[in-house]
Amino acid sequence: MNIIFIAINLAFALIIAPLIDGFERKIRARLQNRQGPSILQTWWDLIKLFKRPTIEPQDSIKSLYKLAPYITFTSVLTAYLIIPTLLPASTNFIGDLILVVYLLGLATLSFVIGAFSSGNAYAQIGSNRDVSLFMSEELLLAFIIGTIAVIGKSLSFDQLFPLPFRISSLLALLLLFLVIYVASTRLPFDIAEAEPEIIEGPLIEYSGKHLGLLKYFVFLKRLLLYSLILDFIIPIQNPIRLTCYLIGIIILSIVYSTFEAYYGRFRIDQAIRILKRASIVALIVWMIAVVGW
Amino acid sequence: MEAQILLLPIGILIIAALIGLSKAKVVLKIVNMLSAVSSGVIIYDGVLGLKTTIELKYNLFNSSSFFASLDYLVFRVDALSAFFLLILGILSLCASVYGIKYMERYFEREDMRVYTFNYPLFILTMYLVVICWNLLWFIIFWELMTLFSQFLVAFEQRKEKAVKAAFKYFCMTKAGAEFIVLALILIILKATNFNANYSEIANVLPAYLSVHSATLYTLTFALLIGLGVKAAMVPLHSWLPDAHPEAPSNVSALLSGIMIKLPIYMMFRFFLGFFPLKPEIGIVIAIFGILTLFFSMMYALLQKDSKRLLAFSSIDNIGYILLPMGAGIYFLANGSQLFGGIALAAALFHTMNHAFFKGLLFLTAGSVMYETGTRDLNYLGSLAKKMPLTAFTALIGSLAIAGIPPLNGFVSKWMIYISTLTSPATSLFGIIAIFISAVTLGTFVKYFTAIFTKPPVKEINAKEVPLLMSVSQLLLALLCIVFGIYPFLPLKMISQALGSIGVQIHLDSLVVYPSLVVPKTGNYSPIIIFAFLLVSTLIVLLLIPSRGEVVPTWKTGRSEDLNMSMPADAYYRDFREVFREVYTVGDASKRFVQKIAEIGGMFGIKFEVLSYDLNSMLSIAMVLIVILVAVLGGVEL
Amino acid sequence: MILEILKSNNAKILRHDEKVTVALVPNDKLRTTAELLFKAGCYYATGAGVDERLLGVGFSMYHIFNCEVEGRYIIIKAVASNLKIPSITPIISGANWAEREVMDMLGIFFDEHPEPVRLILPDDWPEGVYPLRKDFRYNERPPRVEFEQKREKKPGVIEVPVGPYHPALHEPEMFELYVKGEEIVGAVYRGFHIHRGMEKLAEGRMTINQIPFLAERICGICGYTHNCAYVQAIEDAAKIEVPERALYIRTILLELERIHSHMLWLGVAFHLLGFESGFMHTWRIRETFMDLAELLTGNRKTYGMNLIGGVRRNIDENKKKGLSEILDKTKKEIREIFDNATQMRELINRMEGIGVLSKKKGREIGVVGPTARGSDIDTDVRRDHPYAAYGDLEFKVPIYKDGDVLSRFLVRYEEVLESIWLIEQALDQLPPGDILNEEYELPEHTICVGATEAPRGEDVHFAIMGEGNKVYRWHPRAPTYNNLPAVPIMLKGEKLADAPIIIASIDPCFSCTDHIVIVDGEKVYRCSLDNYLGGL
Repeated sequence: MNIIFIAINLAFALIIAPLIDGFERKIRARLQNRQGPSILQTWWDLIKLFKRPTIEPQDSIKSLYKLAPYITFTSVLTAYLIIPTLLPASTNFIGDLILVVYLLGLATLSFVIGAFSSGNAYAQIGSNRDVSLFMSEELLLAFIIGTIAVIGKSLSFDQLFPLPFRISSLLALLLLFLVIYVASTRLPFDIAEAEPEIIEGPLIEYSGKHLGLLKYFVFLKRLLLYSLILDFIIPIQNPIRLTCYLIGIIILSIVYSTFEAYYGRFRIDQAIRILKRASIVALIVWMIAVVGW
Repeated sequence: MEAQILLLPIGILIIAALIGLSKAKVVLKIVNMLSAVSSGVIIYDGVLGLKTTIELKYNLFNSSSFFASLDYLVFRVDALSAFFLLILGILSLCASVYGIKYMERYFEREDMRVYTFNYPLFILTMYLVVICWNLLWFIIFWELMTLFSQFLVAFEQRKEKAVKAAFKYFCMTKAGAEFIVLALILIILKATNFNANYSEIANVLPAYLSVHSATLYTLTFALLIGLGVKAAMVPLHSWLPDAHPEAPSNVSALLSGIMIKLPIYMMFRFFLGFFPLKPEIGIVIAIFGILTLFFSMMYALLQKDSKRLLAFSSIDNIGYILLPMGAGIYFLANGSQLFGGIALAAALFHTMNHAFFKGLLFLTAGSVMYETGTRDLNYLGSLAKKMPLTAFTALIGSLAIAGIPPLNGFVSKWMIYISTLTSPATSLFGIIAIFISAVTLGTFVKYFTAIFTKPPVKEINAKEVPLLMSVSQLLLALLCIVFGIYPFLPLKMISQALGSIGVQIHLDSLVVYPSLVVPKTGNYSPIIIFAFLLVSTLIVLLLIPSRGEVVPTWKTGRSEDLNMSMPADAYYRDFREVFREVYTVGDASKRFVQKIAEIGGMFGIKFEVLSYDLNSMLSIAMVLIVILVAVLGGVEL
Repeated sequence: MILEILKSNNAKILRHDEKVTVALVPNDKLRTTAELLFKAGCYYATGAGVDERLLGVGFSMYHIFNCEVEGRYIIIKAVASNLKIPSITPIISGANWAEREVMDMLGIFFDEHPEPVRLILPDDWPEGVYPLRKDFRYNERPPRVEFEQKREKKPGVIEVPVGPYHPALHEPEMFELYVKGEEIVGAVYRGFHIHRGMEKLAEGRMTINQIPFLAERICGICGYTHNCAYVQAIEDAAKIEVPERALYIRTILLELERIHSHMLWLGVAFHLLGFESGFMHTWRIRETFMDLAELLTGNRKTYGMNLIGGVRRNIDENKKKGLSEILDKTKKEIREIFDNATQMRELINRMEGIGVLSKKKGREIGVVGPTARGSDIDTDVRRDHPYAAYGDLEFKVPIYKDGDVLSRFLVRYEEVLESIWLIEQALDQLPPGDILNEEYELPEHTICVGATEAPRGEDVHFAIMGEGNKVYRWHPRAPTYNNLPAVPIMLKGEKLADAPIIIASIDPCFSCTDHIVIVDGEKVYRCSLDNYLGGL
């Protein structure tokens, strides 16, 4: 039963993730007085990219450069085994919160190693920013994980979904909301892939299928993180969970894309400083959780 | 009769050392090969020791009073020793095999006898430290280990840096050893009535110390400092980043991989075997662990020298071992058997993991040096094209040390987080450990990309290293992968090792095939994760195969040859800038330690330089032992 | 005072009226004259070399100074003896490019020039072929020569190429940034990739009344102001009375163009800062101004309105009404967007204190327009050398003191509002009458100069009248030519992330800058600004 549920969840994620991006593009376009492309546009883009050939830059380390997009893609896919999306699959034998965080770490790692291997100066600078951002993001995330672990007395999702209603869990989820925003490479935190500054940074040399996989990876990662935060909120064994979940996804998309439309890009040091400050807030939240509120 | 096999490595290594006194070129090969053989025997001993306890007892002297405790030379291998013997054996096997080819590069430049004589003795003393079952003999072997290893650090005698590093190493660890000596004297005089046998101590000491808590804290303090110096615990670590890079790479692998783990071994013996469990001792150790891993990794981020970066990361991993050890003691003292067991198991597991991946990384750094002659990350680049095998193993090592699933580093880190995060008292430790784990990832992205992927400033001539060197790297890489995907085997050994010092972990409840399950707290199934990653990657590769043509790297329309190589000191500049408070604190304490070291350094430099002469080396070793014995004897009066 | 300086240096005054002074200065006095002029507050506008062999003089160099205090342009002429003239670059560093350009194009050499290497001609251009000499035909193509690339990798930094094709630059131009981590430790500019040979074309085969249309095509954004500058130069030479109504129409169009250009730039700035919504909204408003231009001229851009002596289309009451209605509406929208934008802390943070150019440096380089006004340099051609109808209208020149990107941003924003105010005034006061005066006679060999305040700064056109409805020499100088050398100074020590906005902050118009050249081939010699700026 569980395995079927997991399979359905995976299929759902694979189909829906690009649609969510299409939806967000539509919202952003509306906010900017534009018509905007159809919701399916992201899917068309991906299909087109998957049809295109790839290239190998002269200065690149070919094997790493070529393999990296695949590993990046599958590592985020693996995380879907653990986090239930559409259907509440009990997955306590596969992994827990720590594993999800580290799988996303693996995705980032293979992404930047692939980019570094391309031999392009912009890719190196972009990956450098990516890792810097990842490290400071992880500081905040570590505090959130600690807070959640203290609240739920567990790291296993069986125990954590949903979080008990407490002040600290509310604050922790708010901070998680921020981390997810940062981790989903959106403005103003899309510093690593800044188009006018460093020409999409790590993605600069990737084209065709590789680029498609990496874009797909970003969409999947966003949906995964949405699902994570929603699972923390929605009771897992509830008949209306499915409805709540879908509505939750739509609300998150609207909120995130609205934020995105009204921000200019940060400089990397500004972003790191903001995350550091947020980490101090997270430390306080952790203390609140330890006190038991 | 089976027990006699414990003597075999001793015999082989002594023969090797004696052969090593000759100047002939072939000696290098023989010595390394003999070391490798003895390492094989050490592994066998370890396997044997896990099954049953082996014991050998010799009556050397027949003196009374204080020396009575020296009368008996007892070798005994219980599961804990056996566990460390396994690590030592595997690592020294790889390092010795690697050394056969690697050390040839030094023929022209250096007096090889410094290596061929000291290297087997260094392994021998480490072996003896692990197997001896008497505190007084332990301190003797311990001091000898320091002595021989420092000659290896100063192997390149013409480099002033190396000599200075060796001197610093020697002074600091020697001073640390004095603390251990003091602790031992205290134990022997006060508690055990001149009996230094481990079994005796384990019987008598806990009861004695539960009554005399002042003695307990004095001992804890002395041992933490004494063993902490050797383990390079922050703030007593400053010798390590200087000493480890200067030694030949296979020796660095041993230094980092196993030698700094021996204090950990002794801490297990003392704090868990001999001492009553006190929560505050656990917390203190855990705090030192956190300080160690935090500062060392933040500093590793700055390094421009490949081996220095690795050295800092070694300190970091000592933190990752101390943290769960302290937490484990804390949990056990508070009666939480489950978390205590997991934390201690994590400490041992990480000890082993670190030996493998750090040994591996030092060997890859050595291979790079072997081919290019440099450790400068600014200069290196793009070597993955020329040394694919080395690059692959270095990648595995980097992934493992960053704790990426499904490699072995993740399992031990996962156990650390699971045990620490959920309890409010230790939760902050776990949080910082997670953050530092991310910084580790950053550091090793830097290490790997700076050496193997970024385009070099100038074209570098290099080729893949000889087979004998690759084999060692591949073996260690394989172990990293296998123990990551199938952690049940090492966990079984660990549960035995912990059992021998009286800590029971219930493996049946922990291992629910195919997962590791901590009831109601966490779960991780390395096999499923690995299988899914592998299968899905293959499927995607099949569905969306990539085939493309080679085009010039895009330089916004330029055709000139531009310097596209990211300088090593430019990595993560903004991150470092935002977190500069860390470095301010770190630098301030560094200056403080330097002041102290300067005062100590005034005395010994001339004496020390003198001692690198081979002829005087042995005599100094003699003198040292005599002084030591005299000190021990003098106490009796 | 200026006359005294000139006379004390044995200069021969060739022309002196209320707008322009032309003087022939002996070569040995050239430097002292230039120095004295600079100290008297005249900054170096541009220089033009002329092959005057057909006029019986030989090669000569004209240095043009903008004397704001007296409201006149001063042109000092020096005649090359043996193809040599003393360089004034050691005294006025702003003359560097102008002199090197003349070196490339005419083969006049400047004694003691600190950096006598090619600026404009590509490396594969043969030695000794000078395209602007009169014996070089405009359609001639010299053969390519092989050359050696002498270039060494710079250790310890990444050499980040920005351009020729880079999304932050909307035209092919090249910066090379030396980057350590994120910090820019050095910057080098290579320019003049765009080669259209306009000067040669105009001199070679165009009549005086055709050139306005060529001049308008120097730039796609600020074309009309080039057009005006040229027309004014000729009108100045021929002393043509332009009808009042035509002058007002020109003013309206010039301001319309300024608004359009600034809106475009502000949108680009938002885009470079990652504020996409701001970009979209700004460009939506810009669209209305293009519609307005279409209403008045029939074209959305490249108006084609000017002829010598006036303009080609009238503004009737209908158009007038439509214009003021739309202006009222957009004024509100502009305020709304920018009030919101200036309240966004993260947006302001990205511009505050970034890319600072000090007033002193700015004066030495001779920066113009909003770049200068952002650095506390009070200069505006509209006020200092009134042309068109600006003398009759009232407007404020916004000045900011900080010299950073934010100052330039705010200067442009305020100028948009001032321009709307100017258009409203001009529409109100639009006098009746003709719009074109076609009765004039063209003089021969008169030296003249026309200047306008383009959206990017002072735009100077220098011309010498030729025989029979032709110009003998026409040399336009776009504002970016003077502003570009400031960019490497602004870039040094900044973050790579800020490089695009800093480069954009001078609102560079590379096509304008490069129009003057005949360049063939793809590799252009690098002009080391490091050396150039070292002398400042």
